[in-house]
Amino acid sequence: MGVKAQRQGLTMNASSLFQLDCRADSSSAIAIRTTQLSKTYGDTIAVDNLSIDVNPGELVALLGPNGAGKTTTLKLLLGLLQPTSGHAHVFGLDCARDSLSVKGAVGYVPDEPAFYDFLTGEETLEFIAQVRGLPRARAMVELAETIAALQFEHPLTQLVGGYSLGMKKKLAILASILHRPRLLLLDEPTNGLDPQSAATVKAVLRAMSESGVAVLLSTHLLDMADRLCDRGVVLGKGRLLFDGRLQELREQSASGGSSTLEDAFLGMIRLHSEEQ
Amino acid sequence: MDVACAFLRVTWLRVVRTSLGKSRHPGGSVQLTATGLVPAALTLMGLVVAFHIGTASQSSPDARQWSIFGAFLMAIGGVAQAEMPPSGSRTAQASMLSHPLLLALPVTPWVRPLLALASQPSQILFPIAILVGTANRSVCSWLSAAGLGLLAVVAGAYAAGISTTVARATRWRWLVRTWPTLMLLLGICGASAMLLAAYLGPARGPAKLLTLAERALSSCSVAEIAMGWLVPFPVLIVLGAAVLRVTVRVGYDRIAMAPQLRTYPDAGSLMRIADIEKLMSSRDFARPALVVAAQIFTFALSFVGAYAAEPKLRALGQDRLGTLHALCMTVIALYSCGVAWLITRRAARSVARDLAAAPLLSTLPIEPRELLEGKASAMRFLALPFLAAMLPWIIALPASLGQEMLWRLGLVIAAFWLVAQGGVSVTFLRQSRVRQQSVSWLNVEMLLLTTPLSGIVLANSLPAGLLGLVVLGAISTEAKRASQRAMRWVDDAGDGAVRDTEVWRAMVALGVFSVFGGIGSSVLLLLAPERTRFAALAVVLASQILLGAQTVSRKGLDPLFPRGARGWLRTAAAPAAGMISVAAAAVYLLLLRRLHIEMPQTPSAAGVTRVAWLAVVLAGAPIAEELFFRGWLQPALPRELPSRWQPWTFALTAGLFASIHGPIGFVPVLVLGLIAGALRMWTGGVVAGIVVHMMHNVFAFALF
Repeated sequence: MGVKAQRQGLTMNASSLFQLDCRADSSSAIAIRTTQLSKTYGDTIAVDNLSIDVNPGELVALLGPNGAGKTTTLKLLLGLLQPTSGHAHVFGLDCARDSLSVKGAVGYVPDEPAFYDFLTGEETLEFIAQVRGLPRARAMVELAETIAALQFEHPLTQLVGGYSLGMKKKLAILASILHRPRLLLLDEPTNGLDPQSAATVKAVLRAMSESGVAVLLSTHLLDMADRLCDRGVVLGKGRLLFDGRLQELREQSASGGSSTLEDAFLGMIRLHSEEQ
Repeated sequence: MDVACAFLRVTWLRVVRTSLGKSRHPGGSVQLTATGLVPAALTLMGLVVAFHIGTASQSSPDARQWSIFGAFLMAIGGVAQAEMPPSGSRTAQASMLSHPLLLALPVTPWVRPLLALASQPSQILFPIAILVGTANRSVCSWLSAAGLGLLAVVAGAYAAGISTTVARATRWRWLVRTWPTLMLLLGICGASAMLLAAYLGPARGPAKLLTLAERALSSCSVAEIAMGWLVPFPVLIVLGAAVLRVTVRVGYDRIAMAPQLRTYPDAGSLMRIADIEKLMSSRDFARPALVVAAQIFTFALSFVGAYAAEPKLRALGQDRLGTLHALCMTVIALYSCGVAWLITRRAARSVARDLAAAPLLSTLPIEPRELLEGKASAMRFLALPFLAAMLPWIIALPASLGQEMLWRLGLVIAAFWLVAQGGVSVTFLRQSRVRQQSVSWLNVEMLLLTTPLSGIVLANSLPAGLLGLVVLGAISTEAKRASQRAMRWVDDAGDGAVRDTEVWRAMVALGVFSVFGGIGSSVLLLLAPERTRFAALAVVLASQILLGAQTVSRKGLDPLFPRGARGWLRTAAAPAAGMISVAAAAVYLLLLRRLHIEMPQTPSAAGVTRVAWLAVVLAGAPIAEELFFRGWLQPALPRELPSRWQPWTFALTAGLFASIHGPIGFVPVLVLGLIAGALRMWTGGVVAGIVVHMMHNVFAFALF
């Protein structure tokens, strides 16, 4: 039972909700492993020799300014893009080649979620459950508490075409945890959410992480990253600038007189562009 | 008379109910939908046909024919109902009462539940209608029959509503799910019973009822039956329009209302992608113009059917048979055009929905081809109810003509199965290459599927039609294969993924137009002129117009009209170039005469046929062919060819152009193609090419 989740007023039973089968063999023990991963679009380098490891149960923030390659990295991990060079593995599966198996194990929340406009929210979840081969009724019952906590302003029985961006985002988050993924990839998960829903989402993420799910979320909200995640990965123009505890990032620049994460982050980005 | 009236009224009330029940469509407006009307219309036709078991004398071989097709129709109606959504819907009961349409009606509150129930999908009505119609032989006026029919409607609605509620409240969920199947079985049983009755003769059991029906119908004139068929359609349309106005005024929110119109089946049942496709399509697809046109057409068709039922038709002299044949061919051809349009439309909407939902779909563990498969299977049955609606009047035709039309209809149904199969693949394929968000149903690739169709529809014999089916099957299969290879969620310009296959590309470039050219030039040769002048006119003009319309979707290609004064000045030189082309053709012709080679003769034609022939040769063909070859193929080819071939695209185009014109005319047509191709490059438009082409054709026509 997550303590922080309780603080958020949630009665989510994380251990029963997101119980995982942890009998994975050693090769697939690591949730994400990228080795020298690169992706170029024409002349633009989106991701440059990125090598990171993420273990199950870790909650990692992917930080960086606009155009740093955060979304591209997430898409490479899901197999939606083919890497120009290098490899990305999720639980030992090659993301580019075993895309289907990867998608089966991973939950993904896109930056701008889109659904079938002519299905209702419920039907969308049922459709996803159907595609993922889950018993529909069970999936919905298990999500009921999360649905209640997310406070949809319109009932889920209305067509998705009428939803606001925030509603779609919430629906996308529901959709991504429907099948109890072992890895969650989230692209700006709290974008467009009201503070209350954002808090709920954070609680859900924390609960999942505590039950052994690896979570990688891209965000530009340093505040949120600071409070939610222990570990941060900072990208700048596709290159890995920092990988470690966010506390360390703050301490690194503390010598410069400031100790907020924001200053540390901005300093690092400035330094990087000066190097270039 | 009374039984006939009871039958007709009851069934028509059912039609009214079905169409109104389906009319709150999420297209932002209220419409009558074809899908709602078709099963009802089929059931009606089945009943009318079943009546003819009685009208034809028992010893006549016609009686068997009638009964078989009555049974067939009802089975089709059952299938159509099964294809429609299950009647059980989670929110239907509750939502119906609060529906704005219902609230807008100026009725006392206690009537509303009645109306709400009456608008429920209730397949139970069909057997009730039969029961009422057959049992009530003492009904003497059509007024009381109509009252009884209304009673049957309400009772049926209640029964259906109650049975659904009971099924939902208890554990009999299987009943809700299997309802359409049960009704289909019931329909088949009913049809079998009628068949049996027809064979047993008047003395035995249920056949007595049929004898009664025979007696009743014999006093009913053709005009009366025709009125029974005709009147409800315009009434429905006017009523629908009025209801639409009212609901729009009180406020109709498609997003809020749509889910209640057609709902996802209850939890526990398996929802296949095909089902989801059908669900979304029913909420999304709404074309008032198409629906009204389809209804007017069905209505006209029904009239033909009713008229055809008139024995006088059978007694027609041989001299009139030709006209009748031409009329039938025209109807089939036009109907086919409509269904092709429907399928291509639906495929485009379907792909557009998938593209919009790509951020979701691409993250799910599902291959695009699985989606494709589901969509194809949702489309397969789309044309069946439409085409089956043609059966009654085909049966009413004189035997020889009826048999011919029957195999034609069989061919057309098979062809539409293939078109529906390949339609989504083709749209997907096109989209994967064009990669734009808006999906157009007008695309050249789709012509590859729809053009062999014209060949099949107008085939001069069964083997020719079967050959056409084989061609269409090959194209459909290749489209599917190509799309399965090409479709993937990776949509990355640099990934080097195959986006279509070479075979498919070649098919698109070559196949489309050769089929068209074949139809344009040889349809009158294939078929005896006096029997087919209407059909030939309709098909040739339709194909030419369709082809012209295809140029709408030529985004990104060179413009069709010359740009600036210079381009138009150059275009003015076209007649000179045309003279060169004509001179070349004349020299070639003289050469042929010297070598004593005879050109094939065009058929001697007179009257309407001659006008059609002239229109095709002098106006239709030059415009259509130039639009395709110089307008589309010439600028499109460089994108498909290696760069060293690119300067020669005009020659390649001319070669392909000549190759569809047959071996003897190859040389002059090649010259014409080269000249038109060069003019296309020089003037920047296709107008000059059209002028040259017309001059060439006038010369050719004047000479033969």
